[in-house]
Amino acid sequence: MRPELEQLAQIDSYVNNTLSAAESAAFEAEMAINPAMKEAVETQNLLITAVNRKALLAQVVAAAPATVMPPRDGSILSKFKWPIILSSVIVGAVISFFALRGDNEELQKSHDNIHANASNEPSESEGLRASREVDFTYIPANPDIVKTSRRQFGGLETWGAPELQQITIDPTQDELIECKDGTVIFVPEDAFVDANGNVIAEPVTLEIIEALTMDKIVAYNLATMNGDNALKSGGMVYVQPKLNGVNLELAEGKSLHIEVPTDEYDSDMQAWRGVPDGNGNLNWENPQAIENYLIPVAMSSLDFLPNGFREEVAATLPFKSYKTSSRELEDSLYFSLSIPSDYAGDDRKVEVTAPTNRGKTVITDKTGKVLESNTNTTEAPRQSNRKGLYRIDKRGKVQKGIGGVQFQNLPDRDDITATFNLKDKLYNTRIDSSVLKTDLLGFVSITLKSKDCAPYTINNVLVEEEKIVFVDCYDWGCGVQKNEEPCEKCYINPSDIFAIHQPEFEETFLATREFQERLQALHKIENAQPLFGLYINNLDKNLHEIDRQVADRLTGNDKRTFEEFAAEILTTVKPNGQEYAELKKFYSAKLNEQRQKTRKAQEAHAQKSAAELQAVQDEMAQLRFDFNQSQRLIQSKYAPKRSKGVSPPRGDFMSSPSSFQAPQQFQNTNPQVGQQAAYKVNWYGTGWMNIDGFLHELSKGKKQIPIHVADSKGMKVYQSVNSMNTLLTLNKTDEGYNAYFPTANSATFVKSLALGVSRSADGQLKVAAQFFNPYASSAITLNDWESVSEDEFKQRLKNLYPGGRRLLKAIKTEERLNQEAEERKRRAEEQRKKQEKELKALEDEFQKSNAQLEAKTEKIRMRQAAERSYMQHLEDFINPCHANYGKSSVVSRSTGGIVEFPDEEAQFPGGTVEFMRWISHNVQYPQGAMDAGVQGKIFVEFVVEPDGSASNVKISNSDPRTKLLEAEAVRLVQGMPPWKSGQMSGENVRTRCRIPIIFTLD
Amino acid sequence: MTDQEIIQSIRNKKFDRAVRELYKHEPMIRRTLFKYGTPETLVPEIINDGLVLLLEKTQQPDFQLTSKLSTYLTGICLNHWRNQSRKLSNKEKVVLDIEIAQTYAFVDYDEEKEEKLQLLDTILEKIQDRCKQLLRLFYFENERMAEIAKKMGFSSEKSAKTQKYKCMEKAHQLAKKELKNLENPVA
Repeated sequence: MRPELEQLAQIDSYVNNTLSAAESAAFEAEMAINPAMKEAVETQNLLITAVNRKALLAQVVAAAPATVMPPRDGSILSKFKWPIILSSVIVGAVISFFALRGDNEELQKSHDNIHANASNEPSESEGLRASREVDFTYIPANPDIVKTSRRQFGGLETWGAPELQQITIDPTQDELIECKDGTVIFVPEDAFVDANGNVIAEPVTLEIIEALTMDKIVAYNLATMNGDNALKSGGMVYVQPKLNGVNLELAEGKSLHIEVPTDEYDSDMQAWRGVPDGNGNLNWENPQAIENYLIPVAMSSLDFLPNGFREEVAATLPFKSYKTSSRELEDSLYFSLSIPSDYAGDDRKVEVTAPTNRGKTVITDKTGKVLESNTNTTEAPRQSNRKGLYRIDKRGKVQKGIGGVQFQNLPDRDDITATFNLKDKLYNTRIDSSVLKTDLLGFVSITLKSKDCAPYTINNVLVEEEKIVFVDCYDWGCGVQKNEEPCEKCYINPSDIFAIHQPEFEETFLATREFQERLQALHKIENAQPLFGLYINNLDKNLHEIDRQVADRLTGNDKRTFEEFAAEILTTVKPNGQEYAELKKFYSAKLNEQRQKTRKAQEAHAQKSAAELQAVQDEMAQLRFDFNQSQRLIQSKYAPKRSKGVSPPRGDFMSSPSSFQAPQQFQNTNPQVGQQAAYKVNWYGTGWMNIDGFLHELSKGKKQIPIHVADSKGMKVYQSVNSMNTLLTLNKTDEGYNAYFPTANSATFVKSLALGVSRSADGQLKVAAQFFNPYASSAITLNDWESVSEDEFKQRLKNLYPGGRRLLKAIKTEERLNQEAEERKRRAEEQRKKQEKELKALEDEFQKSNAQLEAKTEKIRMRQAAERSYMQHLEDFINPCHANYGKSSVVSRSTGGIVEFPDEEAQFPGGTVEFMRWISHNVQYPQGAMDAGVQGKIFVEFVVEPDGSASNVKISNSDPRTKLLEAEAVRLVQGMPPWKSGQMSGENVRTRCRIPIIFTLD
Repeated sequence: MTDQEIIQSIRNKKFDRAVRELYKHEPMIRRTLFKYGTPETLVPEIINDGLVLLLEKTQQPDFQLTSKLSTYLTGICLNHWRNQSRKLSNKEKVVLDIEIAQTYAFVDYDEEKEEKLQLLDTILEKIQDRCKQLLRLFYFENERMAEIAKKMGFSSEKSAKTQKYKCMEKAHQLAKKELKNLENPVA
């Protein structure tokens, strides 16, 4: 071998420990004087480790579960070669840009989704967004429909063979089954035992029959009777677990959780057990109460926007540069209609300047005049302007913003000083804590009675230490007291809707389909804000109690609606039951699934109308382009300095006449989905179960109508009322079969049905049916007997009972939806015509005065007016009062025009490293935080303006634990030297930025 | 399996079982990595690399477990990610955290060594497949030279040995160059 190789061999032997002690010592001696040798030994060690690692990795990859392993193509190193960011100073700061959507939570969500192998195909961006909201994918087990000729089930002999559903489940784990007609059955683990009481572990087959509609109830001979008492049915279900054809029983203490869907929730209903009488009939016995707790679903699967709002947006676009609708756009448009927190009319508008040092307060009005100051030191306080909604956390500290902390009780303070400004008068009053109320969202309100401002509910209160330093007189609760000023905004404040639509409320009744239904009803009611408040302020109460309170404050149809809600006697979210988690997943997944279907249908429709609109839009775009071009020409010629907001770099995007905010993520869903209620039962048994209630009207009655029938064997005569879902077997007397009715004329029974069914010995079915009015006839004869096959029999029944109530309701719903769609179409047409008209006007104007400099502002004003009118149109849409909305209703805030994906991100002069250096030089660790040992990471969000200044600075992860650090973080960001602003198409634009500032104590 | 059982099966070279067991912690680790800003596409690689490191470390005779194995693995992955992310992104501005270093200081993670090893990993990619196989059989599978010669069709044990040293020489040459670059990066 070559000497080089000899040397390598020696190194290898040394590393592998195969040299003798003497050789080894000699080698080490040489290594000590030869650095190249030492280096080679090191390399050899590394090389061996690397070889081993490669082999190990191959094994790890082979052993890893297949689903989580994307192909590994090369090392990470080969893919990324970028400079280093690391900091170990006391305050470390790292930059992540909002535009990247580097939001951990969001990543988390998308991860969960992927991990669960979500089956929603994210075909387009919207789909992707929507699928991200799906926390999990739940694939319900669908039973097989088995054709059977059997007519014996649980001691019942049916006329026609029932539609039998079979499903095999693993009894050792919780299972959830969705049946064909919508019944949901939850089977807890180890629920089944054999006749000897042994728990079954082998796969168990469940036999299920649903009889939710009248035709099936008749076909299956399921009379709705409890002894002689007449019942009305909400649906019947047969569940029988079987192992190898042998019936199993429920283990002691185990129960099936069964939910039977219903369109009209009837609180009279109970769950009855079907007991066979030995002649192939069932008698319903042992009624058991229906559970009336609520099952919460994932908040993201609910939609709290007013019904139809999304469709309205989709139908009336374009708005600004948005031509097609998306959830984000709809959400942002809706939240843009939020009533600003300082909305109270100009005369009462105040702005607080609160210093970051505790105990010193300056209150100024909007003109800057100092209204009150308790600054008694000469040291100038570091000021940060705080304005808006405030909340107080459990320790009485002020939290800014909404969403997040829940505040239960105000600390006991009997004398709190309130300084507030009402109608330009400054008050300084001691306030009894009894008038101070905190709602669940942490907002404090005070009801004050004074001559000047009576009675106003004051909603925005800032409590600092023992003193309320700011109260904004804010008369949102308009409409409650009659002597108040006319209400300008009478819809529920969208920002409140946003606040409750947070996952943190998932364990409350807010996150239920039932609450969604109530909220949708509230959206239609004028001035429903206080009613809405009743719900969100009473999360610990039962839903029906609040329904009742709401109903008491309403009149007419609205009152009835909420009385009906109250009659459902729904309680509240049940503390974790065994079935709870599975059902929650199931319904959330269901809602999401439905939502996506609706979304797709909506998109299909939108595409169609978009095509129609396209021509107009193209024209408009072209005109805007020409217009902007000429603007620029004019400006470059005459106006060297570009005035902000007059000629935006990207045409219509920058100037923001309204408070329209660029789309932001808000999890939401489509309306009208999954609102169907269900009867919930924990069922301790197998076999037939019936959701029934007593039909008291019939028991009251004594009017007797005999039905005469030529006798035949195996015959039964029923009395039935379609509208009530009731089927009564009649007994034969000397006069015939006697049907009973209330003596007083009752509209319910005017259309009654006499029905005879018989089966002869050879199996031939015969049927006779006759409708009659018991108040117009004294006796009926059933003589029109017909021989029918089983299929014909079932078809006959379907004709007799056209789907029962369920179908009627569905038809009604469809009619209503069609009407709404028509209405929307009409409005869309109106909107389009309006736009065309405005376009025409714009065009005319443009052509006329192209050369005139004075005309340019006018045109932009027109366009802005068009946009404003669009927002007003939307506001009008959600406004149940439908009139009198304020003219400058939406306060302009400079949130528009933020470019989310600029060509070039904004950055600190000198880059990240400089930024960190700057932070560490300028940070002043708050003394209070230092004393309390508070450390943590504060995310600060802000907008980098085209001139490089930071605006809209806010804390994005407000947390009571790090509260003490927030002011300093904000101060730091506000005190930054100008940034290099973001760039888009070569122009400076507004960009969003989010940086974490880490405070660490040594 | 308890942590000790897992370590025992690693020491008995039953990697398959151990990895499957450890992979049960994958969702938790994944979440933690996300928390510290690991891009989704990199997560599987980080976790696999972390597992390799764990397999390697636990096989060392002086290895002492000072925490739960899952915590240890999380720590390795986070440290690994931190090390990786130093090379990441201007564009993809990464949230980096000294917290990792503080919280998971108990994990013995030699950044410098790991960096070198990654370099060597890329170098190993550059040498011939036959070389790779040879080195793997010798160092990882601990096979005797005679068997390797037979398996790989060398005429004699000696020629296999020479071939091995040639492979090593190539790797050493490449490594020398690259490691130098690492220490004195070209400006």
